[in-house]
Amino acid sequence: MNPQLTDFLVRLHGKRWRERYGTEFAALLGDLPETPRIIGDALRSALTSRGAEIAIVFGALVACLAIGYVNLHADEIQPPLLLIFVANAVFIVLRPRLAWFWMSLFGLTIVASYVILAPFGIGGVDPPKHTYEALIALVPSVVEGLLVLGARAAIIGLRRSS
Amino acid sequence: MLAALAGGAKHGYAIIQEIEREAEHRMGPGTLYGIISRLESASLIEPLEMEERGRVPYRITGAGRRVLTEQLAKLRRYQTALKALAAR
Repeated sequence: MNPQLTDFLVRLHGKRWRERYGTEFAALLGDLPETPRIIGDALRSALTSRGAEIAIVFGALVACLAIGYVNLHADEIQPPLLLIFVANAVFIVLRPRLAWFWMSLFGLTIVASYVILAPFGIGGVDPPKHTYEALIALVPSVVEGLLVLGARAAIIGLRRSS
Repeated sequence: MLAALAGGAKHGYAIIQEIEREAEHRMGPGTLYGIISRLESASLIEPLEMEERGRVPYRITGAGRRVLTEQLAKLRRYQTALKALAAR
């Protein structure tokens, strides 16, 4: 297999997997011919090695859809806000390094639900007068996200000291 | 895979060749490393030092040899049972 294709197939794998098996996997690919079966098998391995990442992306997408749907169908702000809090907590615990991304993503989902669905004539039960007003949802999202980060740091600190 | 390593340490390409020769099955590189990863996590095989061109040989551990022996004994029992059924 040519080095460019080998390098590409190795890079498709998750970081941890690459660190552990990348060099030897590249050496093995270099010994094998470029057949569709072998390339397909390496692609499947890359997908498997990124299983957790794919599940997180899919989970975040489902969470965004749920927040948007509830926002457009609820009379009050509490139900979508509760969903934002739950999604923030879950994803910050799963991937704390992306905490700011999760806070922004779930906070912006409210305004996105209006922007994306407005062209289809779907405005929700009680839409804001100006769509940008929905950006206010970023505030509770960020505040709760920071509280979750703080709680997480406190729990880790307690565990280390005991 | 464990049987392929029972005769001595081998790197990925040699394992693929051994399995192809003995089982007439061409294993893909991703499938092979999926199995290597699982067997290594279960401490049934272990890597040796990296050779030239980044090849890493693996060898079967004591625990791996025990599992292989158990699996072979189980297969022999199935074989005996099947032969007995076919003879009826």
